[in-house]
Amino acid sequence: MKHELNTIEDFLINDSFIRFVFEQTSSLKEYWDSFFRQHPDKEPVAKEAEHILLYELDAPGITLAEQEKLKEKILADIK
Amino acid sequence: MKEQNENGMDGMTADADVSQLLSLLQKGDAKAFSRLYDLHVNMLFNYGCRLTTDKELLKDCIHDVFIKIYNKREDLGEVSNFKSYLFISLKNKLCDETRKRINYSDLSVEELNPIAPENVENDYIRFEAESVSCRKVKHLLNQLPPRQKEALTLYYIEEKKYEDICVLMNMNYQSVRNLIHRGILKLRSISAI
Repeated sequence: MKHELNTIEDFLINDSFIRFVFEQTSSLKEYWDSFFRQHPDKEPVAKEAEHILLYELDAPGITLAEQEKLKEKILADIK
Repeated sequence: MKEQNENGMDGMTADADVSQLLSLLQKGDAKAFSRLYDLHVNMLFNYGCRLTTDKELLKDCIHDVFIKIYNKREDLGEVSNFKSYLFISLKNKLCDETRKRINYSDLSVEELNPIAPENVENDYIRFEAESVSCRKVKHLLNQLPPRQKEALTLYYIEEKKYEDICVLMNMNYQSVRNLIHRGILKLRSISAI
């Protein structure tokens, strides 16, 4: 493969993988199922990345104050 | 998902909530935009934290992603999944900004730990075309409508970025994506004959 998928981050930034996780279209499923059949060693890392995308991103992250400050800036900039 | 009551929308399921908010935003509803931000900013921030340690850069990129969403709100109907759209937009923005910084900096690429642009879709088309020869691919491409052929050729053969194809074909980002997507579907259907 031209771009190696070795780390969790490699999967997290892969457009096709992100769409596979959230959209589950038949062509994406077909592609990734085939990919994991050919590269079974990559599957555990991909599963971790999938778990992060689906379940771990709701953890506390940005503070409410930062969130509001950023929102004010966005709203000011679209006016 | 955060509980926020100001719009009286709690109790709805998240997906229905988001798709309703998106259609309100398409009509220019600023409250819907604000609510979409509230619902997704923490998730995006946490996603970005996996890709960069620079929190200020990350917030700037989230800012730009939401500005783009607002400015392109009329095209949101084309978005098939808002979460993957958000993640991919933020990742692309982080990549672009990181690349800019590398260009303006004397630091080596390794030191900046840039986020490499991934493009498994190139491998995807290779996979799609695996069973057919190069000549057959060209033959199949010639059977596509001219715009689809042009978009697929630019993307997969000339390896142009979506942004560049938008300029070359004078189309917006989502329309280019859709065109390429339709082209792939069409290629698959004609190659199966």
